[in-house]
This record gives sequence, C-alpha cells and structure tokens, in this order.
Amino acid sequence: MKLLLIMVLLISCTKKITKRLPSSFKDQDVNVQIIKPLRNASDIFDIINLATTSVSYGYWTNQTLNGSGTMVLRNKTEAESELRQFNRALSLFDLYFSHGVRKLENSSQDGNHIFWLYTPMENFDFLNTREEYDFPFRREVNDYAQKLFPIIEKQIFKRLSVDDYTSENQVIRFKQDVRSILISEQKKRLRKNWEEILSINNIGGSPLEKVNAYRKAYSPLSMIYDFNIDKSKGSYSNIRLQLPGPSTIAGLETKDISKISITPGLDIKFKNPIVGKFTTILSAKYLTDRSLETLSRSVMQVDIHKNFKYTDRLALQITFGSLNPNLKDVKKRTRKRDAKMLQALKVDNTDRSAALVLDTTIQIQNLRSKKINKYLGKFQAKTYLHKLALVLKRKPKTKSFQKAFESLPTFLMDLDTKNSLLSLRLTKGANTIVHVAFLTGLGFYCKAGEERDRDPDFEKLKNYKYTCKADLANFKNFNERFKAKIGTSITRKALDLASLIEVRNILDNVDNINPDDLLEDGMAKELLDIFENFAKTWDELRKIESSFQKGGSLEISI
Amino acid sequence: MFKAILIILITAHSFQVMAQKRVPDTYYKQLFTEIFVKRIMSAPHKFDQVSQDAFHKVKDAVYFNPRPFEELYLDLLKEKKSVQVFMKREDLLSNPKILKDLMKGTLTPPDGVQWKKTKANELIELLESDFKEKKSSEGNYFKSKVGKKILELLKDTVFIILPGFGNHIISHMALPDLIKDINVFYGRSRFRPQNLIKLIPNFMSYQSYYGSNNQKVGFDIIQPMGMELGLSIGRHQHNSKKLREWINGLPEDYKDKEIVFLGYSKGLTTGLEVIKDYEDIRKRVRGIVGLAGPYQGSVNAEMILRRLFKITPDGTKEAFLEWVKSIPSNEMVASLIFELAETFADQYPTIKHLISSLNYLDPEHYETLKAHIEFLIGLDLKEVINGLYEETQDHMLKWNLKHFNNETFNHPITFFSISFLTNPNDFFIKGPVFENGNKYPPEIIPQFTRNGGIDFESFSPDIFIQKLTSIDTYEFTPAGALDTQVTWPDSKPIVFDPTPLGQMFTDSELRKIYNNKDYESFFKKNNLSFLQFKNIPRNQLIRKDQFEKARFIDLGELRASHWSGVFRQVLKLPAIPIEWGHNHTFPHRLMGKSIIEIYAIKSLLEQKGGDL
Repeated sequence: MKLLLIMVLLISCTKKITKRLPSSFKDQDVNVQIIKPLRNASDIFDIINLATTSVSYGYWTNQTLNGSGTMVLRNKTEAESELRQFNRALSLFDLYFSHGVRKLENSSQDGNHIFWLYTPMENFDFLNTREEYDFPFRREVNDYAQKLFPIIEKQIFKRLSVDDYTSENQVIRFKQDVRSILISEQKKRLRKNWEEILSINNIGGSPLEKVNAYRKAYSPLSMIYDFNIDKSKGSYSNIRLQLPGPSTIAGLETKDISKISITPGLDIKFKNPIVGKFTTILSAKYLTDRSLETLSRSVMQVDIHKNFKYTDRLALQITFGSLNPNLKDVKKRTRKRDAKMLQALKVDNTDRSAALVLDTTIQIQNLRSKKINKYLGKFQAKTYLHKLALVLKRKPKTKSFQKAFESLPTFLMDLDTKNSLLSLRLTKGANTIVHVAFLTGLGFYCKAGEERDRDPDFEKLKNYKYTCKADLANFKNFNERFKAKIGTSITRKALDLASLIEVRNILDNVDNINPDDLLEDGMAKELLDIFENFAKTWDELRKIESSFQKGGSLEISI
Repeated sequence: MFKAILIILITAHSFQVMAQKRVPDTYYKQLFTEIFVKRIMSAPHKFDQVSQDAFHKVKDAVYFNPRPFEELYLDLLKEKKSVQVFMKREDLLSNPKILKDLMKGTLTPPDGVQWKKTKANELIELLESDFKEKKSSEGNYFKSKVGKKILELLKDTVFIILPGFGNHIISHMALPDLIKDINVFYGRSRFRPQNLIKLIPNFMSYQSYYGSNNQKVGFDIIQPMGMELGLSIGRHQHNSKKLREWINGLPEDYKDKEIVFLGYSKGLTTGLEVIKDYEDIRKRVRGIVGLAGPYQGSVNAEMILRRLFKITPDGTKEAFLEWVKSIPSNEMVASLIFELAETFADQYPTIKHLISSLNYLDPEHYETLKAHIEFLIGLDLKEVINGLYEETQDHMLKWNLKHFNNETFNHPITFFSISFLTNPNDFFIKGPVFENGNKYPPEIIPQFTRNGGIDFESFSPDIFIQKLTSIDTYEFTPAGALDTQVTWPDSKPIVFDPTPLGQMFTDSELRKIYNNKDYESFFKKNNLSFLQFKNIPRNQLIRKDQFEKARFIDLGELRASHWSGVFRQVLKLPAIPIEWGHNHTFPHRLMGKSIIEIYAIKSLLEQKGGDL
C-alpha cells in the first residue's frame, strides 16, 4: 500500500513541480555562479553522486538511529538533542563522503579541483567581461538544482578567469579588484534585503511578500564550495555559507505570517549564567547598533573544512564579522592541518560592531579575599566573540572504514582555541592620577575630559574624570590600537583562562555520563543554539511559503 | 537383592523417561543458525571480484543470540535512548564473539545427545562433509548428496511457498535460486512461463506446469503465482479459498503429500487462514514457517490505516469502518490514494524532492511507470481497505485471541518463525568496504552517469522504496526493531511475545475488545480483569492447554530487509533491461536449504525412537 502511495506521489510531485512558477525571486535578484571547473567537466557527476548519496546516508541513518521507538504509545525512547543529532548526521555524511573521496583520488591520478562561488552580482560590467560557462548537461543540472533547492534559480554561470585569482597549491585568493567587486555586491544585496524586510515591518505587504522578504533574513547570501582531489598532496574540501547576521523572530509558533515579525540582532538572556573560574556571562547581544549601515555589512559565516588526510575530524567555524571590500585575501600562516582552509573572500573578523557581545562580570571563584572581587566587580567587562572554532572528532575512533561504518560514529566537539577569536574590553572609571597610574600599570589606557569625549571608542562613564579601558584579544591581527600593553595582566588571565578555557571545559565534558545536560548549561550550546534556531526558522518560513504555494496562488494552469 | 531390584527399577524408569523426552523447542534456533552460518562460510562470496572474509559474510546475513526471544526483547526495551537501543540490539544480536562461536566446530547436538545415536546422524554427516568440501552453492542442490538425502527423507512432503502482499503483480518467484534447482531437477522449465496481460503476469497454468515433471514427484517446492490466490492485497478469506482450490487442483502426485507452508509476509497469514478454515487442508499440514511473517500484524499496515481514519470527519476508527461499509463495490481507490499521498509528502519535503528527481526518467519509462500506477489505483477500494485491515496489528490481535484460544489449532502442526531485522546501514553499505574507496553497490539514490542519464545498473529501486516506506515506521516501532514492514515481536507467534498489550494499544482500543461479546466467555472463563488483560504479558493470554498437539518453534533472526531476504529484486523499473539493476546479496538460497534441512532433522529426531 505504501509502495502504491509513493508511486502515486511520484507522478503527482513531478506534475506539480513542472507547473510551479519561480517563487522567491519574483523581483529577479540576479545571482551568479562563478566556477573554476574540473579538468573534465563531466567529472562533476561523480561529485554530485557522492554528495547526494552521502547526504542521504547521513540524514536517513541518523533518522533511524534517533527515531527508533520515539513515537510508540508507551515507554518511548528519547532521541539525542538536536545538536547531537546534527553532529551524528554530519559525522555519517562525512564518513561516507571521505570514503568516496578515496575512490575519486584513485581515479584522478593528476588531481582535480573545483571552486564554485554562488554570490549576488548586479555589476553587469563585471559580468559581461567574464566568459560564459556552458558546461555539459548544464540545463539538466540546473533543473535538478532548482527542484532540490527552489531558492537557487535563474542562475548565470560564469567561468573564473585566470586573471581573477591566484592559486598556490590550489588555495584560491582573489585579486584585490575582483574581491572588492564581489564583496561590494554582497553588501549591496544585503542592504537591499534588509531594506525590504524593514519596509515590510514598517509599511507591511501581502503575506506572500512578507514571507519572501523574511526568508531573506535566513537565506545564504553567498556560498562557496572548494573541492580539491589530490592523492599525493592531499585532498580537501571547504564549504562556506555567508548568512545575514542572526535576527529575532517573534510569533513563529503561530505559523500565521501576519503575526510574525523580525527584529535585526539578538538579545539573549542565558537560561543559566555561564559561571567560569574568573567570569560570569549572563547574556549575549548581537548588533547593538542596528542601523542600516551596520546591518548591511554584518554577516554570520559558517565554514566547514575537511582535510581528507585526517579522516576522523572536521573543522567547523562560525564567524560573526563584517563585509569589508577593502580587505585583502592575504596568505596567512596556519597550522599544517589547517593549511588548506579557505582563504578567499573572508569576512572582517576585527569588527566589534559585528561580533557577538557577551555581557561579562569578572568574579574570581574561591578567592579568599573578598576585597579583590569587590574591586573587580567595579570593572565593566564585555567579551566579543568573533569566531567560534570547533574541531569535530569522530567517536568511537576506528582504524578502518569498514569498522567505522559498522560503528555508526558521531562527532564530539572540541574547542579549537587557536582558531577561535575572542576579544575582551574592560572599562573602569578613575578620578585620581594615582588610580589612573595603577590601572595603566595593569595595562589600561586612560583618557580624560574632552579628549575622551571626542573618541567614539571611549564610553563616557558618569561621575568619573577618567575612563580607562583595556582591550585584549587572542589573535594578532586585531586592531593594534586596542592591544593591551601588559600581556600577563589579570585581564589577560580573565580572557584566556576564563572565557576561552571555560568553553573548552564544557566541551571536554561532552564525553561524560550525561553530555546533553552538561551542554545544556554551556556557552557552546547557547551559541550553537543561535545557529540551530537560524536553521529552524528558515525551515519554518519555507513551510509557510510552501503552504502559500499549495493554496494555488503561485500556480498556473496548463 | 533389594538393591539390585532398585537399580533395575530405576534404570527402567530412566529409559522410560528418556524415551518420552523430546528435543526442546528452543534448541532448533541454535541448530538452524549453525547450519545457515556454515553454509555461508562454505559458499564463495565475492564482491567486485574481491572475496569477503568469512566472518563478514556471516555478520552481513545473521543475527543471533542463544537466549530466547522473550529475554532478548525485554532486555532491549530497558534502554531509554533511541541510539542506545539500536546499539544494544546490534550488541545482542551481532556480537562478534557469539557469531565466531557459531562458525567454529561441528553442528551442535541437543544437550546430552550424540548425533551417532540418532536417526539424524547420516544427514548430519553429509552436511558436515558438504561444509568441509565448500560445495554449498555449487551445482543443483537436489543433485548433491545432501539434496538427494533430503529428497529421500521428505519424499512424502511438499513445501508450498505462499507469497506476500502485492505478489500478484510480481513476476519473480520467492527464493528464486532454490526454486530453479527443484524445477530443473524435475525437468520443469526453470521458472513458470508467463506473459503479461494488462500488467499482471499471466502464468502457464500450474496444473500443466507441475504436471510436466519428468519423474514421479517426491519432495517438491511449489508456489502459486500471479492471480492464482486472487488479489494478493485483498481479504484473507478470498485468498484462503483460492489456496485450498489451488492445492486440491494439483496433479495426482501431490494429492496425498504432507504440506509445509513457507509463508513469506502475508503468505503466512494466508496459510494460517487456510489451516483455520479448511479441515481437509488442516489434516495435511505439518508445519508453517513464517518468513518475516506478520503473526501479529504489520506495523506499516496499522499506520496507514490510522492515517486513513483521519479522512473521516471525527477521525475515529469506528467512523472509518462505517464509511468503508458504505463504499460502493465499484469505487476506485485513486482519490483516496492521492489524498494520502499529499499528506505523506507534506510531512516529508525531502522525500518530495527526492521523488521529483525521478522525473528524469526518459519519456518511455515514465509512461510505462505511469501506466502501472494507473492500473494499481484502479483497484476496488473496499477490497483493498479490507485486505489492508486484515494485515493490521489490531486485526491480528483479535485473530490470535480468538483462534489460539480454541481447538482450531490443536493439531500436530509446528508453527515456525524466522524474523528479519534491518540494520539501516545495510541500505547503503551492504558488503565489504575497502580502504581504497571501493564498496559494493547498492545505490539507494539514483546516480548520474557521465552522459547525464541515470545509472540504472547500480540503482536499487527496492531499497529506495523500502527506505521511503519505512521512513517513519521506526519511530512507531518499539526499539525500532523491524524489517521495514513487520516488527520483530510481530513476526513471532503471540505465544513468544512477553510484552503487555497496553504497550501497543490504547485503553479504549483494548476496552472495545474486552467488552466484545465474541471474547466475553474467554475473559470470564479465565477470570481476567481488564487491567490484567492490558498489563500481563500477552503470551499469557493464550491458553496453551487448548492446543497441546501444536508446536511453536522460533528459528531466530536474520539480518535482512523485508524484500532482500527472499527476492533478488522485487521492483524492476519498466523497460529497463532485465539484467540491469542491483540484486540483493542476501544468501536466500542458502537460507532456503537451511530451512529444509532443519525441518528434515527435526522430523528425524521426532520419529519414534529417533531422538534418544
């Protein structure tokens, strides 16, 4: 019977899809797919085959594992938390894909590399000077992609010119003029999207216009897939999604578009304070400045990097940064393991206004002298999360693919402290020169009076003659102006030992008896929740949009 | 003197006790699995020209734990987390140490028994010799020494394979390789000749086919095909009537043979029904083997029915059944199916997208497929719904309570069960995985070829459809233990199931049975309160004293999906060359042999003086 049902579905689905009009791009936003193609264009089918099967393997196997007996009448089993399920599905996908890559390596003796960029592009001078990329079966692939992901349709395909980029060991870096155009176009599109969303918020629109506009707050602005097959030098892949910064959505549970509203940015009070050895973090904010200017440059970037030499691990990075056309795709020294990470079109991760701000109080636990804590309590502290870098390691660890497939392993998260980027700003008022001297000795930078008022980076503290601040970061290329003079001060300890290591402690404990509960209280969970909610909201909005389509408003009769 | 008399008396008593002693029913699971394992080990097994090691060959096809099902299942249900329950199941049934123990040594005799002292000894020796010579899959089985012995031992028996739900449109026989061997042995064509009439396979008449034997028939394996049992998705009573006619219409050679039904899937319930309904058949039947057979119903049928209830305004089963009664007999199933399909697809957009990818079938294939669907949805709605209902857990619960609590089955019939259990990994990885990136197909997702078409050679429509049809069934199955269509406990006779009914049915559903006059006398006679009815292990609801002559033997579990365990490939995409498409690798020929052999050994052990 079910077989019959599926077969009927097959006919009904295919009929429907051919009738459907393009949905979410009525206003004809123009996007381009810029491709550095494989040596032999038809090799792409091997990659598509591997990718679709790997996704199905990860998704369906996780679904069975986490859906065994969860809906029975009595004694239901519990599924893992959504975060853990994400890790499991990702691990299974990665396992299947990594195994398939071995086969591709063996069949491509000379190596093969594809770089694919999907990005907004309405600079027709740029477009017209780039060669059309007319790969074999383009129509079929395009049709297939449109059916699977209706959001990507009406695409222009262009071939990446050798003048556009440099490539050292297949690591692509765009030349500055090209990079500048690409980022400027992304900024323009982001601005346009936010204008549309804010306009709908203020003036309103039809339900369909509203849902289409709102979906743009949760849809990738640009995507990159960078896949290199090279048996001798090592294969790798990079996936990058650049998304608008997180927003607050209200009324989604009603599933009634008229009751749904979006506010840019986030203001999250953590369910439980994150208490570390040196700091307590109570809440997080994203975008305190919600001007159109800030909105149109602030993005959340998700990077998934795989070095196939390390079959059992995957790097996942979430960056809160800004689109900056003036940055360069510079070569950066990295660990050997990270050498093949994506270097092109990075966001500016030194922009505090685009970072996630964690409201922090400094409080040293188990300190005998209460006086020190009392004094520390007078400091204003803010931790800025610029990038959360995680290494996902497969457990149980197995020696062979055969054993790994049998054990259906999941990923456990480990904080990658070297690649995570945090900065801390401590602010303290002072009224006397002695106090200023003391703070300066600790590494603070103090300004007084008019000089302070002229500097937008100095928050004016009431009732104090001087405002002193110390800015610290765990990465070198952060704005030098904010770098602390004394690196070993208590403030550095507060940063390194409290904020960062606290996250690591939480993640280290994932292996313990009840990992979900431990994560529940952890910062990483709170932060990953933001990402998870993002995906959920996108899905809900997609369903709402789909229900409009089902209502017939977007269908034409043939 | 007194001492001597005492010794004589004790010795005489001991002999008497031993003579009455029967091999425990629980023993046969061990022996059946051992035979199957050793057959697998002695058969060549290659994937892409690369041999797979013996342990993995066994691991890919066998689930085994010597403990009885009742204990294993209750142990499994103790787990609280979904992933843990899955891991526990694999640990219990696919434990390397237990499997390796099965691979070692010779076939284990019953406790305290030496093979040499039993009538089964000759067959056991032949089997051991066969295993050593590694000839398990070479040549025609019935021309081998073991096969000849089987023909001799079971010369008065015929195995009748009873096919499953939807079989009338399937042109392949179940257990095809074994069937081919017996057909060739008797000089019949390898498979029953057929042609297609309106998309239904129209086979050569079975009287002509089974009347074309080149010698007097001894042991045989035969199977009704096409519409010979009527609409295979229809009601049992129609199928069982047709089956009786089919059996009675067999050529003279088969008239007096003892019957063993090999009931695959719905074939099991059809077999149970014919035993229940017809005394002449009942007298001839000696055994019925449930191969993934829904002794207690199919969870998939139950779920589809429950979805259908929602079609009625108040969404209840009663309202739905009333509606079914009112359906005109010529009402077609199309509109209902479309409605159900829409609901199903809305819940699973991923499926919707995946299915839409099949749009790339070329026009010729697409049209043929469409014709199949249009034919299928033209079926009689009332018959289809009633047929589906009779496969549900709800119907089979009532059936079991009613018929296993009276004299109906008090006959020397052995009810065997063999369960299939699916490991979801097997949908994607079935066979060895090599470090160089190679693996054995199947491909569950259609793969592009380099010229942009679909690679139908490696694509497995069977697995694709089974995955789709079971996608949410795992959620509704305790411990997720099923073969995609039938749950682990449902594939066992109710006498083995230790779980209370309250675990599967709502209070109101059970209350309706409890208050039903059909069962009133049973509850009164056994002094069962409603709470007891709901909460005691369901196997205690069966009065075993009612059918002392019948036997229940659980032969255990195999690692397979509902279709892969008996077919090479059920679904062939229309107009695709017959040699294309992925074939299941489950060694069902070896499984078929093992079933016949265990039946023969059991018969020998139970002959007068045969066991001890």
